Amino acid sequence: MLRAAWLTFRMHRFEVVMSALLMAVLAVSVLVVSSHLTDLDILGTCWSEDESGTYSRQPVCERFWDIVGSEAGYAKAGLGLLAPIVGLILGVPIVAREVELRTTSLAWSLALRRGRWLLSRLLPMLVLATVGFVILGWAGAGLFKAMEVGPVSPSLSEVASQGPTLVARGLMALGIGVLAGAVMGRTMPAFLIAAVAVIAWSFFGVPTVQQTMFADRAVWTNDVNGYRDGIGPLGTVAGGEFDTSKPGVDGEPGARFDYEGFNRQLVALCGQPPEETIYNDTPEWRSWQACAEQMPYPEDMYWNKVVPASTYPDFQLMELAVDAGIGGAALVLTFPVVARRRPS
Amino acid sequence: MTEPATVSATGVQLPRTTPALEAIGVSKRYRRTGSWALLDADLEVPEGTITALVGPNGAGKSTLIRTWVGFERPSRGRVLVAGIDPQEDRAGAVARIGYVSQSTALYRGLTVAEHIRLAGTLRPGFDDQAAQGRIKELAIPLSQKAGSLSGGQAAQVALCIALSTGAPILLLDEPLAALDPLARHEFLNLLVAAVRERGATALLSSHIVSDVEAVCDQLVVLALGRVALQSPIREAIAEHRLGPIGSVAEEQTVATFARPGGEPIALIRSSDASLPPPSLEELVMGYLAAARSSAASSDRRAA
Repeated sequence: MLRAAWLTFRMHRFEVVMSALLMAVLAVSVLVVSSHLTDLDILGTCWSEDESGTYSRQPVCERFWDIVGSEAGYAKAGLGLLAPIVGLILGVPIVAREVELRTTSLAWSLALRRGRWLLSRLLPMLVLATVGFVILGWAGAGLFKAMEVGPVSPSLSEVASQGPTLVARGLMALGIGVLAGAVMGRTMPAFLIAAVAVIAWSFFGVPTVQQTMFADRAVWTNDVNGYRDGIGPLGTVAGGEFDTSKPGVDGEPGARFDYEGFNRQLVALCGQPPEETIYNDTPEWRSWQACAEQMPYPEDMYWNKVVPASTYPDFQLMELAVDAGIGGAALVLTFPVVARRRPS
Repeated sequence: MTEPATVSATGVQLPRTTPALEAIGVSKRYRRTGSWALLDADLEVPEGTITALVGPNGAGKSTLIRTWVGFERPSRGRVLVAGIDPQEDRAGAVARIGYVSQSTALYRGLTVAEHIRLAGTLRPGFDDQAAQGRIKELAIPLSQKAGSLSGGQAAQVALCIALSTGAPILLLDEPLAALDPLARHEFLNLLVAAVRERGATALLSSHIVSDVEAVCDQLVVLALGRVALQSPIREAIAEHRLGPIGSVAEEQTVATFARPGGEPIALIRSSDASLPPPSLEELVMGYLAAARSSAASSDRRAA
């Protein structure tokens, strides 16, 4: 078995080396960014005054948010993208390359059962991919933990860029890639088709399934309460992925608040707000805020329909099950395809 | 049931038992092109023989061989490998076959030694030591990558792998096509030595008759998807003669064709010692011409 695994890696060494390298670079980058964020140790201290009564740790906090907005942002994007890409890179050529280069004639005339041949190619790639994805998922979980400050929860899409969901997405892409390669017998077209399928599922399939399965668990909340209570928005746009036709507090669908009108009144009363700093802890701001507090400030200015962060584990489980189902079904389907396939 | 003994090319007396390879009314139509690659082909390859499967390009040689390996499914009829239908028991059929494909496709990035290891992981009972020994005898470096082997070396590696499976039947699909004369000679020597040593059966397809003449004892001529002639080579030559066109009755004439110099001549079914026997190439030419002429007259009748 080890000999077969080694030979499989040798046959696909370009994909194996490239994937391992990409995953290693990203995992190390994520760990470095997480470590920087953790070292800044802003949790708690950013939100409280020091002995002198000022927010002396403000530069550290600004550095923290800089990293969150740049390096950590790239790392998050990488985590979301790399697992499916690696899944495709490793999965598509397993059968397609052999058909394309006509080596199936040799392999399938030697192997008494093509299923066994496929397993000998598939298992090493699956093990490599799983190990890589688990490391990435673990590194991603570390990053999100390091980014957690205060009560704000990450969005659901961010949750999917870490932990077991990341592993499941990567393996699903691998399964789809293997099947596409076996059906088409050509690497590049199969890669494109599989990529389209994975993208379509990630961007349209997952939100649709989520909406269908969890619509009744979404709750209306206003922005202030939402963040204060640790309720994060679903996806990238709060309310955007759920039914916003329900009338909000102003009676309009999607619960709009006349923010511009409110601002006009505020400026008329107190003038333009001073230049912002991270905590607006300047005499000008204190004075302006004192004026602004004269304005009747509605508690319910930003109403959105969201799912509570407490439901995220259910979402994760659902996606794990669906991704594993799709990937597993694709892998299982590959066996009869290979058994019936005519070698080139 | 055991039938009267046959004499193989290797000089061994062989009792006739189940044919090593059979094709029973095999037709194969490719859906993509709609063309028939094989048409009601009936064929038996006796055990322990080296059989030449000869025919022009497109005659259906590769298709027939691939149906035995289980790579193609016949549209009609069936093929048997030592009595086993590959469509019903692919593993059983493949276990009895060592196959060298037309393109001798090896993994370009793997070394020769890795090919041997790979074969060992795929085929139970594969003899790594024997394969390495054969490769060494051929002075092919085990550490050389397949991508940098010459065409002859690649074909020899593929043959060594097929031989080391220990399979009793070897199917060689035009392995000589891309080889220079010296490489062809070495390949055939290796094949004959191995078949002689193991008493295996080999079917060697080629469109170059001179390649197979020296080593084969059976001849199958495939033309336009049909078996035009199937016979031991010695018998086939002994039972045919060349003569001037019109010198014998039409029913004795297989076909008329032009010799390389352009001289028209007739291939005749006869043992008349006063007429010269055909060479193997002339025999094949005659049967190919007959098949072509028969197809042309069928077309005319259909029209």
